Amino acid sequence: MIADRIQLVLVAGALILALTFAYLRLGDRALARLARGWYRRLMPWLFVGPAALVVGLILVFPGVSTVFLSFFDSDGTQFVGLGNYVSTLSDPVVAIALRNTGLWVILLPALSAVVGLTIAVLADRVRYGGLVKAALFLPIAISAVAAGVIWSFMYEYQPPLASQTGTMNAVLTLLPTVEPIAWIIDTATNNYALIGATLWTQAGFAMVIFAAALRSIPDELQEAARLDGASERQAFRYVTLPLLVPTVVVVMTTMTVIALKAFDIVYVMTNGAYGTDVLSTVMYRALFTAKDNGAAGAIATILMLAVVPIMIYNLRQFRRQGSGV
Amino acid sequence: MATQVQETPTAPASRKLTPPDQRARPRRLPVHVVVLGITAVWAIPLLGLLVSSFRPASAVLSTGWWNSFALPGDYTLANYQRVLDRDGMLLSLFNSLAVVVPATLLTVVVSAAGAYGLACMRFRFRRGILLTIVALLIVPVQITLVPLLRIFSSLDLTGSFLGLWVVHVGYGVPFAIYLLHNFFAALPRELFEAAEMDGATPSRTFFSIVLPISRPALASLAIFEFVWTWNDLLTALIFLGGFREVAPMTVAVSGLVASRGNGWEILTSAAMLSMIVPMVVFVAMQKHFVRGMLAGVSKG
Amino acid sequence: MQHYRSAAAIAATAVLVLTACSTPESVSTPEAPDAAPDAAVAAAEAAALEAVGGETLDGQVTMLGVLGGEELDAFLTVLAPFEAATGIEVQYEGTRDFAAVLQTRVDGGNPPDLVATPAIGEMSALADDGVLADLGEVVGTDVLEANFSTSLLETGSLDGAVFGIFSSVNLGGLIWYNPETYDGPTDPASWDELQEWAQGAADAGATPWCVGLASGAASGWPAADFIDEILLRQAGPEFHKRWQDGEEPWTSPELEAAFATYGETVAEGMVYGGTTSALSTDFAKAANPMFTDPPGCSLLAQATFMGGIITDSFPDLAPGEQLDFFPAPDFEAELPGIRSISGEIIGMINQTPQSEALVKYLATREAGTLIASTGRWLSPNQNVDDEIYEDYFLRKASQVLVDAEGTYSLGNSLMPQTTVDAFWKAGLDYTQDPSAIGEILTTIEATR
Repeated sequence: MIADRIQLVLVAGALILALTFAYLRLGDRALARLARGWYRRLMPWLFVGPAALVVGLILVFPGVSTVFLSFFDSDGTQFVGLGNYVSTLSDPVVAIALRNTGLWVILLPALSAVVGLTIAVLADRVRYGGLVKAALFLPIAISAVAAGVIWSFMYEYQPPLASQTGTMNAVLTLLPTVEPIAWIIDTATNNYALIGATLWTQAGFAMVIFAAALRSIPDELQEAARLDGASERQAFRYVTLPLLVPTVVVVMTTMTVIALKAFDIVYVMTNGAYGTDVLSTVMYRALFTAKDNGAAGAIATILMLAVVPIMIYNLRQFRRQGSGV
Repeated sequence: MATQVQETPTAPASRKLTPPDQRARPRRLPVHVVVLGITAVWAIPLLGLLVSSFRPASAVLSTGWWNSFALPGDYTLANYQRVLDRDGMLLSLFNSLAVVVPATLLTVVVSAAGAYGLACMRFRFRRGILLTIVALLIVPVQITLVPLLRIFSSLDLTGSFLGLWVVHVGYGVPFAIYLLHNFFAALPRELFEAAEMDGATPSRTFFSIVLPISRPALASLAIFEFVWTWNDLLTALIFLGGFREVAPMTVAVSGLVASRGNGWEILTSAAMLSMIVPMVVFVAMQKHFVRGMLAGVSKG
Repeated sequence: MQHYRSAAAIAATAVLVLTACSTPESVSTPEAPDAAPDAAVAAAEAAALEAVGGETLDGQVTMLGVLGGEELDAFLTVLAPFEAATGIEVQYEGTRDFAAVLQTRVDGGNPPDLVATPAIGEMSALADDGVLADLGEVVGTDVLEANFSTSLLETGSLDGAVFGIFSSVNLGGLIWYNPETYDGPTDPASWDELQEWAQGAADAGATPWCVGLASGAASGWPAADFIDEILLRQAGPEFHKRWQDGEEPWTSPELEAAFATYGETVAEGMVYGGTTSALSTDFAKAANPMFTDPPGCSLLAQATFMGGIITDSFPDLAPGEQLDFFPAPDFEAELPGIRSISGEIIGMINQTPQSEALVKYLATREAGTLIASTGRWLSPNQNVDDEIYEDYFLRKASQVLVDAEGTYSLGNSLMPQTTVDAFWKAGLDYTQDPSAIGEILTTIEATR
């Protein structure tokens, strides 16, 4: 059976590469035979078509269906108009979730970008840079469940006089007269604790993207700046950083979406208890516990609408990038 | 896009440059402090995981992992043994590969082609399509499950690897196109103009110019798609099933824990083991987007 | 960079070598639970053959459940004789995301043949939607009535049709203690007597009760289970049934009284580490302070499966000498000897010859005997010989059940999941702030 799997991987891999090559080359040639106008109009679709198709099936169709269902009752049989939206937005649980999701959106992208960029830039300056990058990358390779286990460990609480089993509290209680904190239970800390755990798993993502982008910036540019008398910091600020702006936008956008959709860590560690609910956990409960497709659809639609302002900002970026074509 | 090693040119005396060695030493310390600080914060939970995976379950449940340093002989391979002896663990590793490798490959090629079309070709609706595809990043996975399962059931694709690949490609394309578009759009026009003058067809340009130059972006994309697909649990359970013959590693590992969540100590070793493959992939891809060691040295 | 590449390669090779060295396709795992006596296995095989109509039948049955880890291994040993005798392959999928996976698969048109879950209320909802087959017809009502008690059958029935039969049972409301360090009553006549001792211990500076409510997404369930038990035995089985069926509101005084009784265990000075510890300690670790020197707490209220969990953490413990339980004393003098149970039920979605055979098999005494001999669960089958229980705790528990005046299912496993979730959360909220009881009860009532 293992042999079957290996065979599957090799055959599928070879087929995918071969078919892609054949598809694009043959399609190219086929379209070249058409009249100029048709050629111009259809050629892009040769390339964009497959992506658009797959995304249309897997994401657009369910997305539209969900929005549609949000105007119906829980079974999907009776039309209720905006009823689900009204009840959702007036639900105090949803209010807490909205507030928390807002907190995630503010903290997670910014912190990930800062940590990621810092390491992407500085790791190359030290000899143990590879280890540093590995330390940041490894958490991405950990599943949500395992990350939940690790951080439940880290945040463990024991009564004040007992010996602490959680790393955070063990470090905290090294300081004299400081009492351990129940990180997950205490509403003053729990949201930050969850965001911190997620940051741990995501900063490596930002780092890798920035590292790739930095790799593409020719060294000559910075050297030229240095030749002109700029200090290292100035060279970075006025030469490298502006070139990184598009990448910063990509990282921030992706992290913001991740923050909006944050689910796994919250679900595994608290399932929204103690005031840690986010939009995704509320939606999950509406969908799978209450089995209310209408309410779940409403929450999902609200979540999806949150991407609109982000996309408007990106539109500017796209305009700027596409101007050369 | 070769990264050439250049020696820092010596500045003429008339320029207002502080001599290199006067800058170097005080400058280096903050760098080390920051880097080491962040590394420590990131590495400590990993260290805790590593140490815990070698401790007997009873120790894990009662004391912190640093306590094990005080007691010699507190370590055991029993956790790893339990995971590896588990019926079907090795098979699940290959099941995971059978899911992840083709899905990643497919995502990368479909998205590279799509991003190329969107970034380098002019056509109506170009910006609209790009915006829509990227906006689809927000679609939560949970709402796609039932509609897709209905379609797949009627097409008899459930329980098949092919169905799961298509689903993962769908989930991965928005980010992939976003990332690659950002990269392709930044490529200098001269590249394409030169190719056009040589009479190269778009696909020729794509394969011989764009793809080779985009190695850093493609490599980082491949890593992420690989890792995200590798760690997926719910989608595999729904579309492929949790049966032993097809269960990927995430499902097999989740089956190590009892229904009420007890027995989770074993997840420490399971997590360490399931990290190995992504780590190997990361290291293998490193060369595509890491500056050479020498480039770092010249920067001082 | 070179070092990392080779190090990673070595690590990967090491893993592959290690995994290859382990037994690849073993039928049962090396750490098998208490192995069933060969006679029992042979009897089970015979029963399986009978269930399938005398001749081997190929094919497969898919089963979706919640089991994992060693529980799953134990359950698979019960299925093994069936597979061997009938040639039918049983494909078991265990997941903690059970509700999400089941619902998606049912709605998506790809349901499993059989389902096994402790969430009886969820199954009842499915039965209401007409998704589950009537096992009374599949197995035969006479067979069911011969093997299962009326109350167990009733729990798994809706409008006369049996949608689920129990596969395993846990006895609830047990008070666990460490005989070596506990000096209170081990057979108190009433709850008040036990609490009197506890109060005395608290006054002397100790914290008698161990409580651990954390359990990931299901946090709060230990409190909910205990409150459920208290309600059953304090307000009586009739009230309990009416409450379960929705005829008595959550806001009734009986509910408040049950919560208050539970509250006595988490009151000031009564619980180890205070309410913060109670809320943040994982239920599986709740008993740890019982074994420290000096012990942090002495009493833990939990069901039979807790015994296995504690001995997993402390493998050197001698059952009976260092860990024991007594059934929770009567809460109401006029309602003596009432016990609560919970357990997993099996339901059928796709009726095929293979799935029918498996359900018939699981309803037999022989299968029940195998369940009992795993040392993890009590068998729901009333024809199973009590002698089969080798595990100290299970043997004692089965004796308790035999001596019981009345045995009832815990109410919260029968309710729809939204209410159950609210109940679990209420356990947490109440522990945190008992004065908010009115609001807490209204919130749960609102989910109905």
